[in-house]
Amino acid sequence: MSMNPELKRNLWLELTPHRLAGMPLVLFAIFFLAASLDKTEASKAISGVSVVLFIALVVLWGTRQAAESVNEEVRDHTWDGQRMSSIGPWDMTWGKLLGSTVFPWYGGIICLVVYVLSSMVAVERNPVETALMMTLAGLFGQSVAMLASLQAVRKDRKYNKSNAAGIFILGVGLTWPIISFALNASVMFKWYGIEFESLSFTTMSLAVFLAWAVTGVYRLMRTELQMKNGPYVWLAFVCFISMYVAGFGWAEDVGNGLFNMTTLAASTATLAVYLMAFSERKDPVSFRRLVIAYGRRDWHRTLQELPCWAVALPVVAAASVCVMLTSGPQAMDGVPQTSFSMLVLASMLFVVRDLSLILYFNFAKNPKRADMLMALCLFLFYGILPGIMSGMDIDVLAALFWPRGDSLAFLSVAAAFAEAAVAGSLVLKRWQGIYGTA
Amino acid sequence: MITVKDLYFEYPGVLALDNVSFSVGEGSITALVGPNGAGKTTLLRCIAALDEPVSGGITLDGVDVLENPRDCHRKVGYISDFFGLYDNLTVEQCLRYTAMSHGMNESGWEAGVKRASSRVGLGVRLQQKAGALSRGLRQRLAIAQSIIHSPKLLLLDEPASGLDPEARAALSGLFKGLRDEGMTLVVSSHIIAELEEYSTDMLILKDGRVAGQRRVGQEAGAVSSVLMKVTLARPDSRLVEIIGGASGVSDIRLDGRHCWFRLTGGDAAASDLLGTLVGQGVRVSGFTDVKAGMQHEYMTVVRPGAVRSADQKTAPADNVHDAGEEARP
Repeated sequence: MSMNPELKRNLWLELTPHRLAGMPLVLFAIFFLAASLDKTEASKAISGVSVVLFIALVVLWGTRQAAESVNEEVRDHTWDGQRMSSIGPWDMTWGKLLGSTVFPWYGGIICLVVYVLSSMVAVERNPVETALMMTLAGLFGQSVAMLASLQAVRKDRKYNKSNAAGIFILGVGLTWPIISFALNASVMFKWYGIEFESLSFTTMSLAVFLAWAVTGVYRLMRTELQMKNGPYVWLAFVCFISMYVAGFGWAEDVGNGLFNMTTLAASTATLAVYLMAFSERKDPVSFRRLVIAYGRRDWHRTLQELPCWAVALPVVAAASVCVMLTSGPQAMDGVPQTSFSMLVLASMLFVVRDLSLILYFNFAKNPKRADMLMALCLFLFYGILPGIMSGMDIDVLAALFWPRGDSLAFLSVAAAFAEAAVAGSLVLKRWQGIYGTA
Repeated sequence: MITVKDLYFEYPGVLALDNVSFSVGEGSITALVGPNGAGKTTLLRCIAALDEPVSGGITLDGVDVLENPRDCHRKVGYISDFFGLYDNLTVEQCLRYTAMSHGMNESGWEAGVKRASSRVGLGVRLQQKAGALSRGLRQRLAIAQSIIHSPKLLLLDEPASGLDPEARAALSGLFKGLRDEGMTLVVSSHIIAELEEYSTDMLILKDGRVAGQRRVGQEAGAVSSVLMKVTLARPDSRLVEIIGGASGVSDIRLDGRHCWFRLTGGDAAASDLLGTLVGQGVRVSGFTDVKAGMQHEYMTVVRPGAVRSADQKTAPADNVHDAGEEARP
């Protein structure tokens, strides 16, 4: 069986004899230093240092390498060559993921072995499971970084240093709290009523989310190789993550628990919509393909051309209906159920308004900073303006920008509807300005 | 080999390809020419299944490019105007990686590396790092990478930019060799003189549309007529009258001792006319057909006004005669 070419290329570049010899030399020198500084508890010192070194190598350096692997191909104009090769999307995914990070992992595995051995000597808790958790966390952070960098390349096919830095921070920012949560003293908590210990729950969650992240990289890689994706996997992920987060809302009181869970699910699905609305391409050309496919009644193609944020909208709607159904008198202090349903409806309409505005800005002649402008608008709509109104005790006006569940619920729905309608007509007008017909 | 039908491609706010349709025959070298921004690179990228058009169809060797882009990738080699190489790999590693990435097995890639490197004259530099190669050698390595899997179609975007004349000549020889081996080439370039050396066909793009497509050396609307040039040892006032009197002659232009005209009827008509001129005592020192150059053809399509004014410089308007009117006896 021949080796994955992408992995092979990375091995040529990353694992030179000098590097192979240098890494263990440096690491063991640091372990020796740690042991010599704390002779009484040398194994504990080595164990601690090995975790720090693992984080530095795999989480910091490895995540950066993963974030840069596709970005650098784009910058160096080698990406088109790779896209035209016969390497399949799966081989490209794991070849790049493991290949670009192979040297940090070379050092990381040494650290893990040293950690397990020294922890066993120091009689620390679950060294093998902790090592497994750290391995999964490292892979997860790297996968997310590669996923984000591929998404950035899909959005704007050019090397962007600040994007790369942002993606690196995202990968590290996700991994760091997970590792520190799992490494801290054992915490017991319930998820869907089942009691878990923090380390084992983190390890299991990481394994599942790593699978999703790698699936995401694989699917974006398919798109880069000009293969089409259907909407079902993304839809399944939005459902999964909504259900996953909902599990944390479980409560002994069934009524409260259900309400908490549906609210968490709806919020998570809504966040997924916003995340994709900001990270996907939104130029009129990409929608043109959708409109053409729809015009031809080519449903298969129409589903393939649907943006992910649109695919997630039915989940938001379904979860919101569940929130309405599960909201009893306990939903909000003293808020009648009807008003609360109005609040949910207003929230959905505000989401429609925001999505319409994002499209409106992106359909402009020069949409370079459209997403930045929209982020500013969201900050104004949901932060500054309602804050000013509330500060000035004019709650009536605050209801124009913020969904309300009190006596102003109806006004909030009416305002959200009007704003969504205006934003929608603006998008339509801009579209007609470009293509003549809707 | 390639059939493009009703192709539209848009960048946000810009229609880059507007209803483009054409076909390219197998074993040809098509020069893809046009002003900057005409859509040449976009067209090449669509054919290479790297960019997806908004609508239209591309068929490549029987494969629907839009439906089966991966099948198309196996049949195509592509070098972009800003190609990249893995600078830290040796020439051999670069070629080996490309061969492996095209699914060639060990024996296949060994032979492929040998064949492709010797084809572009890099056989002696296999252990040199790609980053240490000169611009011309890097170009050769990029070409070797693109032909290592023996594609049926090779697409090259500005392959000669930045090369010295010697390297350009070598490139020209290489392209002819690849065509002789049965490969079809589409070459986009601004250097028309260089394209003229090896192109069999020319496809002209202007403002995202096909402005013309023809065999090289064959002007539009001049399928059967040939541009002829007569040079005299000394001026003769009867020249226009005699030439204009011959059958199949048109567009006579006189400039001192030189006269250009269009002639239909092939070699027989040319021979008859030469016989007439000599028989009437005109001191002919040159009598030849002038092949219409690609530059002339290109300018005729892209900037017709510029061609007319250039013609007027060599043959003043008052010296242009129509064989059917005043020049005829």
